[in-house]
Amino acid sequence: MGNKSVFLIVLVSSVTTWGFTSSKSIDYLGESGGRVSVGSGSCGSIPSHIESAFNESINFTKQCPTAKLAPGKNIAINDYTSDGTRTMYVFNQSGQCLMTAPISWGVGGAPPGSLSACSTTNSRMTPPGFHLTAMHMGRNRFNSNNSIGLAGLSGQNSHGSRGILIHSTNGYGSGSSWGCTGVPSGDFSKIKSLLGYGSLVYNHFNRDQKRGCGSSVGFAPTCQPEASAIAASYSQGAKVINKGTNYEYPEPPYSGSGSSRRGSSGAGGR
Amino acid sequence: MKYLLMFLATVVFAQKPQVESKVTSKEKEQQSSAQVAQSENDLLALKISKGTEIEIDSYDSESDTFEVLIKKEPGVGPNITTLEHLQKATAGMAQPKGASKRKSDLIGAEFTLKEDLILLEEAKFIKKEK
Repeated sequence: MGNKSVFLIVLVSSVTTWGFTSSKSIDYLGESGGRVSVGSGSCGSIPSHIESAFNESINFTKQCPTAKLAPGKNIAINDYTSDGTRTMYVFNQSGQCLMTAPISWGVGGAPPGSLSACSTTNSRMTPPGFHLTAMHMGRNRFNSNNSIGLAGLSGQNSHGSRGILIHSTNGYGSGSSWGCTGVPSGDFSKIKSLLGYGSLVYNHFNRDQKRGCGSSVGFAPTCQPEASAIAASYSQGAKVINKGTNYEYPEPPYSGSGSSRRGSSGAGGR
Repeated sequence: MKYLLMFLATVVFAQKPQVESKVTSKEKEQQSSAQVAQSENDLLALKISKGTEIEIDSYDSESDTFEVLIKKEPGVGPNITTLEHLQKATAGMAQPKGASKRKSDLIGAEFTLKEDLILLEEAKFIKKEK
């Protein structure tokens, strides 16, 4: 009994100590507009541009109805902007960093393998901007077990027309895909369990990274979700009207959306 | 003597499961590493399934490999394979034709796979892409 008590005391104090020492505070604009202190968890230091990207993500979830996150859903920032290792940061909605992983990107662009972003179908570049994780019902190579669909929220149509995914690769840390975000095999299961379906993924590029792409789609945070994004959003509890044949979809606050009210007849874009 | 025999019996009894457990743990380790390899192959998805429509996108003479496009998922790739795997998966339809019979003549050809198409791991070809 005495040993158990000692063990419990040690356990509790270790957890408490870890909880305090592993948090490094960063700030973001909270719902009230005030600054809220959040922690970097076990991710080490969070670069300031990732903090800004997290802010943008939070704001986007407030302004684009399809991007509104259900409780427990997370936000992944794929940092393609820095010169160092390109990295995925997974945050919870409170801003606590849950994990990081090195990532790959599309080989398209000029020269091949350069880090450019593009949303056009045969660009072989990674589509920029906001996406929602969606079930990938593919039967060709990747499927719902070994991949997560990335459904465009700003007109990218990444999932429906290209099959853009998060999946395992041994080519992480380099341009080795045709637009998908590759992660180490050892990290995939954790990423899949953290993101599930209906989490926000921000493929974060600088605006000058559209070299070799004739389209600006995805660079501006318009609210133009593709069908599988709407399905993923509504599968997380958003309101379905007409018994699943149409989705209630309010006018977006962003400009430039010509297809603001959409109906969708089924799940997924595939 | 009686106590000595009892002691020896106890020692043997106690040791036997340890030997068994050593064997078991070794086997388990082997099984586990095989499972990890299998699971990594599943995650890397190094095959395109039977029934998929593909197009031969390019041929690289240096590595003697083809890049294949999945018609309905053009963002999924690279899908790198050999002529032998292509021929097997297309029931021999992927055959260089014409007088030259060059492998590059297959570029642009489209097939519906009759069998799963085995792919090579793309990471080995990344240098080529850069």
